[in-house]
Amino acid sequence: MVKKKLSEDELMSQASFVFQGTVTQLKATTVPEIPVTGQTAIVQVSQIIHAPAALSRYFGKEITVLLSGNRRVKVDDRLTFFATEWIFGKGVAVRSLGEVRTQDAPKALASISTNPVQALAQRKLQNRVDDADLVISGKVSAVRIPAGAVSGTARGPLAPSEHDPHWREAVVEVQDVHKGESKKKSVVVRFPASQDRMWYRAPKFRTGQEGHFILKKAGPPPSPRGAAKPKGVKAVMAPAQAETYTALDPQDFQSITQPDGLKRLLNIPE
Amino acid sequence: MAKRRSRARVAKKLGRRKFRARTGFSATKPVAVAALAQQSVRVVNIIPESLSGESNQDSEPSLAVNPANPLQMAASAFTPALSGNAPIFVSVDGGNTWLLNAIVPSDRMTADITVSFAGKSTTLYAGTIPQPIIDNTPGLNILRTDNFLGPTKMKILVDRRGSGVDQPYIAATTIDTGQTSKDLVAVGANDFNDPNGQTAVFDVSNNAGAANPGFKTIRVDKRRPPPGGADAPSIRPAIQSDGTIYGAFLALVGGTNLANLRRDVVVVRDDNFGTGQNPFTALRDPGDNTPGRRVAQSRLVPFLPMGSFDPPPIGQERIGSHIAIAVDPRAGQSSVVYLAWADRVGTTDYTIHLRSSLDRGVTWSTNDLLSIANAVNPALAINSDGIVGFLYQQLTGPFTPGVVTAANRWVTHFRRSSDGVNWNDLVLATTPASEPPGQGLPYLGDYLHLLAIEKDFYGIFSANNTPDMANFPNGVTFQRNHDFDQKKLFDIDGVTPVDISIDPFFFTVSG
Repeated sequence: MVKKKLSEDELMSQASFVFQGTVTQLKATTVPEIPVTGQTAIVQVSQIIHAPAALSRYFGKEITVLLSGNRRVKVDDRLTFFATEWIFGKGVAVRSLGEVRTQDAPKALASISTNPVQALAQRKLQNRVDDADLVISGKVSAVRIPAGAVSGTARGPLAPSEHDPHWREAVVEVQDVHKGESKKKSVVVRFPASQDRMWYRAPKFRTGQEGHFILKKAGPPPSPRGAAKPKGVKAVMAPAQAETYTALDPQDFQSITQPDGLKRLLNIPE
Repeated sequence: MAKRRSRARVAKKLGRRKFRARTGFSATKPVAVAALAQQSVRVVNIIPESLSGESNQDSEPSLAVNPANPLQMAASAFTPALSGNAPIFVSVDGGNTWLLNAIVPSDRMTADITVSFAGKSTTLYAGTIPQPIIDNTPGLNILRTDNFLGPTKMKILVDRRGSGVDQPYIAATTIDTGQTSKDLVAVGANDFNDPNGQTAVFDVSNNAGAANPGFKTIRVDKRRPPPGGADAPSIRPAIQSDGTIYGAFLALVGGTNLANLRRDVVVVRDDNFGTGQNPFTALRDPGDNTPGRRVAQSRLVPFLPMGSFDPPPIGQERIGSHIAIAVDPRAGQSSVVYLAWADRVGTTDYTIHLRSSLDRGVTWSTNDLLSIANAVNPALAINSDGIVGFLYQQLTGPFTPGVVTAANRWVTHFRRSSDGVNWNDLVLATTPASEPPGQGLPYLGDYLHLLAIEKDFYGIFSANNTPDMANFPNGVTFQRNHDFDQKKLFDIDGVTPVDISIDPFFFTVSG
């Protein structure tokens, strides 16, 4: 199968670890458990552009790169790598989605910041905003249980799952609209109150909270679920209102007192 | 507190016939418990050195060891990838060192995962709930890879969701007929695609290594629960290579809210690899002549915390669905089965009960072989000598539901017995239950895992990762940067302190 060669924009958006480095050995690895192949190479990291925290500390160190196979690579080549994680052991191996000669990677070079972890977080935030239906500033005026909810579970009162979201609705008074359209003065944001690992990181709203919200239109009511609706059990949620949204990612809410982040992205004054 | 009785004393009191009927064991069989105590124990924190800076709540571990090559292992936990695919832990040196390999098709982390090798290859299988969750409804993936160290994503064999599927728990073996060798894979799950709440299912393939494995979903609960009810999330398989598959689950029979659910403890059996016209109906209950032997009936099994803002009831952990089953792997011994589950005996406790059957699940010991108060996460395995291993985590110290103090500890026990009456006890870990503060639920996990290959037991549990030798009475090794003298963890620079958290710990007890 022929691999599609990605553009620099696509590489930037898909890679979580973007760095510059020099190839020191081909057909070699710093992680002894990994079989050496024609695609494994050792690279000395000379500049980190975007990185999660665990990879941000590899400046100046040698790591293993599983090359994309999209270009011929030689020892001493100085390249910009667009990579995702592969193996963490005593050493680290990453999977390169693509490599470009450093002088040919103007966008990556332009993204160099003093803090690659923050740079990655900011890029992910930008992606959330790009994907959002509505971005607003506002204040939570009320938190309520969705109309018609059966206490306990999403399927029936005696049919629990650890992953039940325990939906709540926050009514948010809209102060400013940064993206999308909101014709009403308030919107409803559905959020999971559950502490289950599946939902734990989702923002949990409280009355009086003020800040900036990245919102996606809510899907269909989560239950009852078609054929599985047990006899005698009422619908768990009322049908989604016209302006019901969700904010499920930790980055989808930023308190008004928190600096940078969304504020910087949306040019909201401190 | 665990109850321990002398087998001789009990046998004398009951008479030999009754003793055998209740416990399933000969009253004169020699006891090898003293010898068990001599065996070597190895405990390993499996977080790799290059992730020394992490402080996630890596709870709910599962473990796979390749029977064809026990140096090869895979493990899973709620361990997030930094981005992209979810990871599994892998080892190729018998568990001394571990790597994290991001090959599970799920966004950063699964919502549930268990892993198992088959018997005679390097093929690794997994049952997962992948993320992101579509339309707020968890789905089931059954996965396979022939190269668990490689960079290629695991192949998706089953991908279904419907009205939701919960807690896939996988078991696998290889069936060798002489001419052919096929992987038998069974995945227990709580599948809400049933309008009547008979949600316990097994997805079974008796040729899971094939290009088209042909998994079949088999509903095994033949009794209808009260309206609005369903089986508990834990549905557990146990496979014997003679074609016997046992299943265990907790069926709803009563209750008015999540705090007072009443459940039957049910064991089902199939005698022909999960195939045939009416799979998993080989075992009928004498009370109602319905498939599924009710080992205990109408037990109180609260599902807590009930509300999102209620404190977890026991040592920062939730309760409500714990069950484990194991079958004797020896040729001609598939009639020997052990079963453990947890329920509430009094008003606030959560007690694990251990029972056994010697006649393919038809009759069971009427009394508990062991009763463990305020404990979670039972796991069972039987080795090639017929010795049963029993792993669990017990909260010690003053117990008030929903309250955890510095006086509380989670104590991870591994116990073994050659007769079901006399039990050796190894404490693998005794760690503070109040620290670190929970990052969501589960705190330690809704399950852990134990298995046996030949004489050796292998297991995995999650616990507070403070590098304090006093917390690990049988020793421990860490790969991540640590200092046992300072009792501190450090980042990959070896200098920056790292907060304590919950980590998975591999262990093996050699036979």
